This record gives sequence, structure tokens and C-alpha cells, in this order.
Amino acid sequence: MNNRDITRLSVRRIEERAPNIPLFCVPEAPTESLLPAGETLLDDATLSYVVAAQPAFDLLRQAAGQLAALLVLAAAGGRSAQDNPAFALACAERAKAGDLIGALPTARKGRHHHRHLRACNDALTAACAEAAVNLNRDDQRALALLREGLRQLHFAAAALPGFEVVAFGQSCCAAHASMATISRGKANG
Amino acid sequence: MADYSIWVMEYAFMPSAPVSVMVYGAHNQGTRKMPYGYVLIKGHGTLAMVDVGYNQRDYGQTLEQRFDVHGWKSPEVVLAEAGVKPSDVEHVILTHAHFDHAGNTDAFPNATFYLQERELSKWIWALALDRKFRWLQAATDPGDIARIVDLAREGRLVSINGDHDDILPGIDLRLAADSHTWGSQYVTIRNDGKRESDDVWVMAGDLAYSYDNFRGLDAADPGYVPIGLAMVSQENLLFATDAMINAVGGDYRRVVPPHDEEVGTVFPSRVTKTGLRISEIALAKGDTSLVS
Repeated sequence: MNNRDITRLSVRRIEERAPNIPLFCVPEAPTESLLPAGETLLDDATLSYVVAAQPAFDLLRQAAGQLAALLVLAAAGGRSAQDNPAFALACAERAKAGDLIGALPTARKGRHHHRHLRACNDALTAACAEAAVNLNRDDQRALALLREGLRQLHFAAAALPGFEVVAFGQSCCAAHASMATISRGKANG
Repeated sequence: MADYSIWVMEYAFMPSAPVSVMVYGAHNQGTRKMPYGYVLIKGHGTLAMVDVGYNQRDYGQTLEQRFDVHGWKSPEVVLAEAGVKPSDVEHVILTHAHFDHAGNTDAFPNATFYLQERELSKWIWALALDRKFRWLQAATDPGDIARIVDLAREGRLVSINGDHDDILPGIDLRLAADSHTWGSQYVTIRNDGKRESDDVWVMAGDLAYSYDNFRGLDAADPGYVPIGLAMVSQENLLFATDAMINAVGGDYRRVVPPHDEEVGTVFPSRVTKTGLRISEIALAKGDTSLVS
């Protein structure tokens, strides 16, 4: 079973068990992020897009986290944050994500997600450039750009299933309670 | 009389958390309500908290719809039950950097935040690891780290290096290194102000989810059982458990696990009109009870 099959099965399971619950949250996303009512997400083109886009999303998330961590180091008085290997790593991951985004397959239902992914990449590109010059100078611009990148990442996560900024299913308190509408698992006791 | 009033303020809950989340290895043993709560401490002319909850705006809907977390109320609403506002809080001790403990720092504009240096530096280390190790930081919100940048720039982040006595009068921080997370800490409140105190409370953070972590599930043969999730070491969790119970003189009920609904039966408590529970751990002289 390949990734596309796994994704298709997961989405079908969600839709069958909980058809009334939207698959994504849209805390601040524009309304056009929601698919028209009755539209299914199971077409092959969308699934191909989701599977192809996940690595790019994960790289952007990773790069954003690393940049944020370096900004913390710099804000805490670290004088060598720019020389920290994690900075080069963050920028390299951002660049790799950019390449992947450019090569993503087209899918009508993936267009909105793609737009936010590109916007995230653009913001993080600018954040990396700003941080390369001003990381140790208490400049707010790198942080502002990082925040914009994170905001776009959240929008992308909301636009299609299969993308998580925070893996709640691996978190302390949500562990094992994932997909509550799929499996309540109420054993005796 | 006590120096501090101490309350556990529930701000959300999961109605049916598997017992195995709370007690390691307790699979297929049913479910329990799992509260999410932070601790409010009032005394010595100041207001302090232990942890601040999660960021509802960014992913509250996801938590509710996909992970069965319900009833979230903002700190404004929750703390109003104690007659205080988030802007009144001056000190916040973050037990660790998971999103549901350190995610809502923005809501407290006047507080100084205390976090173990090891917690922060190891998160940074984990973020730099190869993607194969992403489990180590998948549950960290990059947005929370970005918010910590602001705190650091504003001079509102105090990075604690290990154990620290009297962070506030009678309140000590204890590092439980490499346990639930790399730099988890618990809070010891010596509520009579004495160095050799007879009235010690410990706020456990996520070092314990339940009193069952202290006694096990077999009443005939009690023993420590760690929580369901340790990012670093179950062994260190057990030793941290032992240290916390020793710190309070052996009565495990003085070690408070905010995720355990049983806190509401061990201590005087009430459910507010929003459906969330307040548990009163201690009441300082002159303070008004929030539960009677």
C-alpha cells in the first residue's frame, strides 16, 4: 500500500464515520479555503497533491521551528546565533521546501493550499535573509516575517487534511485520543 | 495559616481519555475524564501561576473536533472566578514547553515567565536533528517558541538553571531533568514559609497525570507507575515521583496532578457555571474561599 492509498483510506474513514464534522479548522483562514458543500476530497489528483506536498510542509514547519529557536537564542543574548549550524540548516530546509513546492503537481482542490504554502515559503525566505543580517541586532523584522510564515502554515494546514503544524496525536495529553469521532474506544471501566 | 492560597483552575477537559494515557501500560482499562488546568497562587502580595494552557485561536477547533477536548474558556473567564484578571498575574512558572502548558503566554502581558534553561536548549537541539527524529519535536508548536522570543526581548523570560529556592518567598523550583521532557520542572510551595516546612505542596505539571502514578492500580500492592508519555525517560519519571512525594513528607495527596479529576474530590471544589472545576488546595489567612 503506498502513501496515496493510505491517505485515501484515512480520508474515506473520516468522511464515513463523521460526515458532518469538517476535516479542518479555519481559525482565521479566508472563507474560500472551505470546499463547496458536497464536494469529496477523494479524487486522485488531490490525493497526489497531498502526498507530494507533505514533505514540503514538514520542511517548512521544521525550518520555522529552527528559526524561532535561533531567535530565542539571539534574544537571550547569544552572540553566535548566526553561526549556529541550525541556522544554515533552517535556511537549507527552507530552500529544499521551495524546490519541492515548485515541483508540486497541479490539483484544483489543492490550489488554495498551494497558495498558502508558497506564501509561507516566501515569508520564511525573507525571514532567513533578514536573520542572516540582523539576527543579533534585536531587529523585529525577522520575527515578524517568521510569524507571517507560521500564519500561512496554519492556513495551509486548515486547507486540506493531512497537514499538522502540531502533531497532537503525539502530544502528552491528546495521545491516543486521536480521531475521537472515528474510535471512541469506550471499554469497560 | 497558610502563606498562599492555591487553586487548580480547570480551563478545558477531555471527557474520555484512555487510562493508558495517564498510567503507563493500562491499556484497554477504560477511560476517564481528563481535565486541563493551571494553578493560581495568591499570597505575599502577588499573583502567580503554574502554566498557562494552550492557544485556542490557532488550534482549539482541531483539539475539540479531532481530539475530543471540550469546554475551553479563556484565562479572562477562568480567572474571573477568583476575582482576578490575566493582566494581574505577575509571575508564571512554566513546568515545560508542551503546547497545553506554555501555549497561551500572550494572554499574560505583565507576567515574568520562568522556564528551565535545559527545556529550551534541548528543544532547540531537537529541532536541529534529522527529520527521522521528528517525533522528538512534533508536539512542539513553533508559534510557542516564537512567542518566547518576545518574552526574552522584553526581559520577561527568566531562564532557570536547575534547582532554585525561593523564586518567590517559600516557592522553590525543582528540575526533573530528562523525564517527561528534557527540562520539566515541578513547583514546591512551603506554605508556612519555613525552610524545614510542615506544610509543603508540590505542583507536578506533567510529571504525574494521576494519583495512580503514585500508588499504581493495585491497591493491595502500591507502587509508582509512570505516565503514558515520557519523551525522555520513564525511569527518571519514577525518581522524580519519589522526590516529589519525599518533598511533601510522604503524603502523596500533597503532590497535585492538575490532569487528575480526582483532585476535585481530594480537595474542596466546585463546578462553575461554565462547567469547569475549581479545586481549592490551600487558603491563605484573610482570603476568601472560591468553593464554599
